Amino acid sequence: MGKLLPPLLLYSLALFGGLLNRTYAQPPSVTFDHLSEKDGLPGGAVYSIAKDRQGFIWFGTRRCPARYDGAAFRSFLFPETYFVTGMAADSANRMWVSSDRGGLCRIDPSATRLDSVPGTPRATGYLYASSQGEGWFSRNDGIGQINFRTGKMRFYPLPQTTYRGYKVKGFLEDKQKNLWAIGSDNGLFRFDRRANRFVCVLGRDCPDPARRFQVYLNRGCVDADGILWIGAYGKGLLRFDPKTNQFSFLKIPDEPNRITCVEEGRDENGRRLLWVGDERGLLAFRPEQGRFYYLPDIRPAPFEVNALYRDPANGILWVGTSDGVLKYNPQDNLVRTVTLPPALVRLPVTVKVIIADQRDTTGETFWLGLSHTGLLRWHRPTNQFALIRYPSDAAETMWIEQASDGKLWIGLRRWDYRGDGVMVYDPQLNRFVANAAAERAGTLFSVPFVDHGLLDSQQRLWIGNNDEGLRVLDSRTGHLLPYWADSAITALHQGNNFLTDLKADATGRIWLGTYQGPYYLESPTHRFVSADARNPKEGQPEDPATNGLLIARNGHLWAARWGSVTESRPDGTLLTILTARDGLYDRENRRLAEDQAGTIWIGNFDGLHAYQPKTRRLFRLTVSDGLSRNNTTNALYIHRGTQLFIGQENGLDFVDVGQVNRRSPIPPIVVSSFQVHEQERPFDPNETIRLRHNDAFSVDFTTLTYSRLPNVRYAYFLDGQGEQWHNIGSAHRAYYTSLSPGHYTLHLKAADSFGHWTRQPLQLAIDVLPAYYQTWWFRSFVALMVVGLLYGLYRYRISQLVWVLRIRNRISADLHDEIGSSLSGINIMGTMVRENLPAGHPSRSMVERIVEDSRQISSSLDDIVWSINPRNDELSHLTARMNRYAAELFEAAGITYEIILPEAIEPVKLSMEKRQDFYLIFKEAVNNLVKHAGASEARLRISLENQQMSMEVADNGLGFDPAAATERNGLRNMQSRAERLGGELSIHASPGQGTTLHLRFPVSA
Amino acid sequence: MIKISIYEDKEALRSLLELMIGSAEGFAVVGAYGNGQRVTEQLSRDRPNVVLMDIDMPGPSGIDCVSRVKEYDVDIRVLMHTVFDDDDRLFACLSNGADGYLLKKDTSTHLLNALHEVVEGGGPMSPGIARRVLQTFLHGSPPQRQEYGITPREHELLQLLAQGYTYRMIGIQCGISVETVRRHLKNIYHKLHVQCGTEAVAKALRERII
Repeated sequence: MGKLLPPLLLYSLALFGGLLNRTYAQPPSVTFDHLSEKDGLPGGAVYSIAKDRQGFIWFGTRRCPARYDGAAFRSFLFPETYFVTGMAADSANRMWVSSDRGGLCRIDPSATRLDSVPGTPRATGYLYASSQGEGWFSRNDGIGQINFRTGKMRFYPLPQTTYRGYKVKGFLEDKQKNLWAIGSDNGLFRFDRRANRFVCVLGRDCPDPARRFQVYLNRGCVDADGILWIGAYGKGLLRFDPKTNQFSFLKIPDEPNRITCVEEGRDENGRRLLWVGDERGLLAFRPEQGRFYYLPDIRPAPFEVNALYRDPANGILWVGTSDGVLKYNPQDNLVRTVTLPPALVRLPVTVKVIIADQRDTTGETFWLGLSHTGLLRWHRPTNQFALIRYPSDAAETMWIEQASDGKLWIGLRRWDYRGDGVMVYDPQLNRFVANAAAERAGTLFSVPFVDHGLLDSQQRLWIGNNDEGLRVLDSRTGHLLPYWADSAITALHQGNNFLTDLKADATGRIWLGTYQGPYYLESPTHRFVSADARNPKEGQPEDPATNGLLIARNGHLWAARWGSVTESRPDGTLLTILTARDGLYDRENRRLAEDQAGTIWIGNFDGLHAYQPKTRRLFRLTVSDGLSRNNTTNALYIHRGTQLFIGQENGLDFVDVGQVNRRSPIPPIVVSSFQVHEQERPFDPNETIRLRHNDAFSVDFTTLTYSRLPNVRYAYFLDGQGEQWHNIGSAHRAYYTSLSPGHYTLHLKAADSFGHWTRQPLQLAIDVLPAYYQTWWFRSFVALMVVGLLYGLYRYRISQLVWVLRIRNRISADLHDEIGSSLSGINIMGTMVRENLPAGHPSRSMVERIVEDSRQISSSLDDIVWSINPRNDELSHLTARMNRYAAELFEAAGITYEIILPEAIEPVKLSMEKRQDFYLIFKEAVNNLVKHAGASEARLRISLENQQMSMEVADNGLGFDPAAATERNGLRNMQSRAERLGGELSIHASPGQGTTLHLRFPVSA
Repeated sequence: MIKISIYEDKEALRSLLELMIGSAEGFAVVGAYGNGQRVTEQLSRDRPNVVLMDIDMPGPSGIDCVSRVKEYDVDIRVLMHTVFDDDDRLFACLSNGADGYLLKKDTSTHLLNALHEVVEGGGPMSPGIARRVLQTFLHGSPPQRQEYGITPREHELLQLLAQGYTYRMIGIQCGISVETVRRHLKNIYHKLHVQCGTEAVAKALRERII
């Protein structure tokens, strides 16, 4: 391996060879989360762990099976089970359960019901689903097999021993798909499919005497190489190679070796190892070392490990213990921690400065400046540390600058107040070297505290002291460069305006961090210019005090200040001000770093913050994400744009920044609960959910990240209820009441703390069935009913009218046929009689009367029939008839007449009654005129104006005294008819002056 | 001598009509029937000049009978005998070829005159009938209206009639004699027959006009 290493490394290896065996000589640095009854786990102890096809994790506890979605447990209490030692999902995602009671049980895919499988023994254990689709389980007398599909069972007895428990502690399938049964005390068995029997290869029942010995086996696993690892009571860890049948026992030194289970996994650095559970806790076994390491301090008290399950999909390790569940999620271990070897330096010590050695082209050598004693050289891949001691242990590293020749310029605070504040270390010579400039620089201030230092491209060394400010000298000669009068420096730092940072930008401009905000050195005057000053007062951060500066790659200046972090243009114009409102948890922002993606990392006292200017999102990593401490103010160093190092007490943390951006995609959304009116309902995501109108329903959905970080955000929306995603933060429940009938699609999605959304939102089809009164057929029915009713009414009305018409027509017909004909007959007979009577016959006048009266009656009959006829409702018909009537009468009487009718009568209709009244008034008036007036001229005028009908009948006849009107001329009759018409009738007459009759009545009323 | 056939379902009235016409000078009753079921046969036997036709009869109505008479011989004149002068059926009869009408109330005084007039080719016209004649000509199919349409003068005359004006009044209004009014009316009747008559009647009439 040495040949591949660069010379520097070889050198390092030679130097620190003594530390070599310290490599990984420690338990994996992983963090476990604990789930217990407090979190809703039913029954404290967990005996089996399984994952179903949707991604839910199932725990078999002392009490019952339970499903876990990362937030809540769903327990299956009935029928009663006990000591659930085996769980496995079949291809249809039914979860099978073996326990001490109730036989094998089964949970339907929608996870709403637990059912006993009939015909199975009451006590079953350690259920295992093979790749052949069969279930294997342990019995008190041997091994049982069940076909998940058909339910058909088989039994393989094992020889009886004094052991009274389950004969088998589990099953394994090796890479050749051979099935192995781990006998509790009968030994290890291989299933011979051809012979359909179990063959003991090791232990009590083994036919080979060399391999026949008493061994109590426990649960095991098959590793990636196909090796079987099985816990062996008292003997340690059994390693069994199924190809060669070779075996060995690996013992934990000085321990009773009561190993209960094994699972292959990886440590925080991705190295393979075996997780081992025993009766006292959890261990890591590193196969290449053959060594076991207890994981300390997982729980306050020792605990028994009953089951181990590592999810191959996401690498999460689940540990079932006598006290709840432990979980190690590598995704939660984003931050890795390196601890300083304890013997190296007096603890506690803080890593104050971190820089990579520019001359190591592999980029794996780092210099760590400590808070006391000295400087560490750290080679990351081998995790080797070398200490370079300062002259005094009381020197605190403040800064390290590596010059182009590889020499390290180190700024110190000499807490012993003696000696030099700046030292130069030559890594090649492996010692501190004398340097005039460093000596000069280290003694420029009243105390040897050189808090800030910078080597610029012009070989100038800029140094600063918090109180006394800035100095600059030529790094080659050590000559002080007198850019300012002392008074200028004093003026800048008066009133406790501390100098807090020193940076050079790409143009060579020097920037100063001070309590009054950032300053820069104006060229060529070397005047100090406040960067904030060009901003309006109201646009400035609340507190200008700056603790640290960062010149970003785009030239923008970032300032970590008290209460804020700001971004400004090179000219000082403020662009961004981040405060607690944006998610900064602490006011003392001290360190800044920028990664390749442009993310600004912010170190303060309460976590590591990261701000993505592109998305304007601020997120935060804490001890929950693996930081050693939330205080990240000591040192923040970005290496090659991708590795972020955080100085910590007794060590350092580092984050693969790329991993933040390359987080494994957020798992798909699953529905954990579907409730209608608060009642759990079976749920199948592939089927349309059918709801009745007025059903209130809720969908609990989640993404199965099993992260301890509550940083998944959820959103949903319902088609047909707006297209906007409804962001619900960390809650994950969609709730709807009384949707109107129709088809809906519920969209569900989630995002992690870095803003990555689930690629494919889950879509649930929902049908809300209409209530009967909302169905189209009901509505049509009602509409039809209404239409039918209206039509019926209409028909009724029409039929009434038709009936009236028919009666009118029948009356007409009867009059016409019977009376009309008879009258004609009488008239004809009368006429003939009259013709035949000689003149002067006494009966002649009588006959005349017969003829005349019959003609009169005929005429009246004609009028009546005419007015009954509905067709004659039209006013023009009436006026025509009046015209004809009057004309004929006047002509017969030899009266000169004038008849004036309305020119074009609008289609006005008069009811039968009105028509009759009007006509009869007219007839009476005309008849009176002809019979009694003795007039030679007559005038008839009929007009229609403004819905008012008026008629005037005038003559130049004798006239009469209206007061003396007699019954005979029918005046009273006319008056009463006029009243019925709602009009007025007036007669102007005086003897000898003619008569004028005037009638006026409204048409419409 | 004018030969008359009488169609009247009321027996009493029929015998009176028979008596009345029969006793009048210049008229002879050649047939008197209660219905028109065998009208063609009766016509061929009786060979009347004028048929006095009641409208409301059992069997074929007066309307049908008019057609049959005209189909049989377009020269036989038909005088409708009716109670009402604005009856739909009366108008239908006129359209089918009837040459005039007589109101039953006027039978005793006007029957013989009416029979004479009908032979001469003229008939009276009431406002109701005139109105319908107008409508017929206004709404008839365009080609026919063009060919057999009424003249403006006839139109004017019909309008006055429809408003109830008497022949005399019309004559005064239009500056023509009552006789001219009658002649116009005669023409109008003919045109009406062509306009509305059934195909056979119309054809016969058309030939006659042309």
